[in-house]
Amino acid sequence: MSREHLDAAALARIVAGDPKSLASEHLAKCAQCRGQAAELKTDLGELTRRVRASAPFTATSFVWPQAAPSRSLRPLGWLWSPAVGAAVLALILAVVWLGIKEDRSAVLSLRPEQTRIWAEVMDDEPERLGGFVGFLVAENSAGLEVDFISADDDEIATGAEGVILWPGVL
Amino acid sequence: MHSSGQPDQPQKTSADQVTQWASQAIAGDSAAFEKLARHFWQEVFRMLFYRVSNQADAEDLCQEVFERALRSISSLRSPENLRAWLYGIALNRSRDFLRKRRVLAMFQTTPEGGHPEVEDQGPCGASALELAAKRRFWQKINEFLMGLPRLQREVFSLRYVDELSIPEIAQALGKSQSAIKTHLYRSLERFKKSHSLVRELREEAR
Repeated sequence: MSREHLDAAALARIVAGDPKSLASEHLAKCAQCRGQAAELKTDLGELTRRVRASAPFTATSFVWPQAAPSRSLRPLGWLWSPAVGAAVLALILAVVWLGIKEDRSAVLSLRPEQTRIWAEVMDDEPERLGGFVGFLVAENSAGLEVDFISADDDEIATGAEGVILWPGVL
Repeated sequence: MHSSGQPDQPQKTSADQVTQWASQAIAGDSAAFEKLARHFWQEVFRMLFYRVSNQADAEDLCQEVFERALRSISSLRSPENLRAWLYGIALNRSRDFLRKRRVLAMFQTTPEGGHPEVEDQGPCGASALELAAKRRFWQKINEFLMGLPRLQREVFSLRYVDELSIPEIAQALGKSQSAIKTHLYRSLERFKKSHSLVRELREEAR
């Protein structure tokens, strides 16, 4: 420690006022490091001084608030915010859940005779033919959505990976 | 409704006096709370101004901070911790404010950032050169602070901009003192290496 100079981390500890730092022993013996520590302190002092100097003065002062709203208007007022928040959250979750449920039942109600294949399935992903006419529904036999599927041209394919259902009327 | 009048100069009041006022305010003495509000008003206002960069917003927030303090001062357990406790409230309010402003900024067409009120900060009659220097200084400070992780930035600002002690910072941020020291050391290392800001500070000091 006494032969090498203090690094930035050790200087930072010294300047921040870490009295137990081993670096303080070195500092007592090394003029160069003492100079660096003093420089860092001066820079920080200058920063504080200039920030202070550029802060505006406010002519305002504390104004006592109006009387609090009557408790009869808002009984258990401290409970209102959490209660309203919880109610709104529950409503949002219910709407989202109902939406998901509706979508899934629409998919599951599709029968093969109500669907036809409009996608030529490539190795990795389906290629859309004939322009955009609707959304491609891809799911495996367990009803789970899959990213990549395979299918034949002329029949609904229920291969290992899934089935393409394409609503005939959209 | 009444106003608490002109703010006191903080350095004229001893720490013991402040602690005594805090004890009285905790016990429900509104006159003592008013003294505390006078004593800390400018300081909390400055702290808020550094963060929100707008005088009117900082003044509004300052009022909110003291209103919140008034509502909850009975929950303050140690009157000697009043300053750190106030800073904790002010930090939370400024964070909420900045979060809302960021959301609002997403719907605005004009970009927001920097220190838009630098022009208004200077005393009357400040020269264009002084204002330009001030703007440049804030720009360098912002660049440095924005380059720090959030907690390092807060610890550094509280220590060297707001001049809080390490125990006060720990209390205001709800962290241990050792954690605060770690963040402070790291931010100081970064400060030492921020040559542009350091050069700016040294040029001005000459």
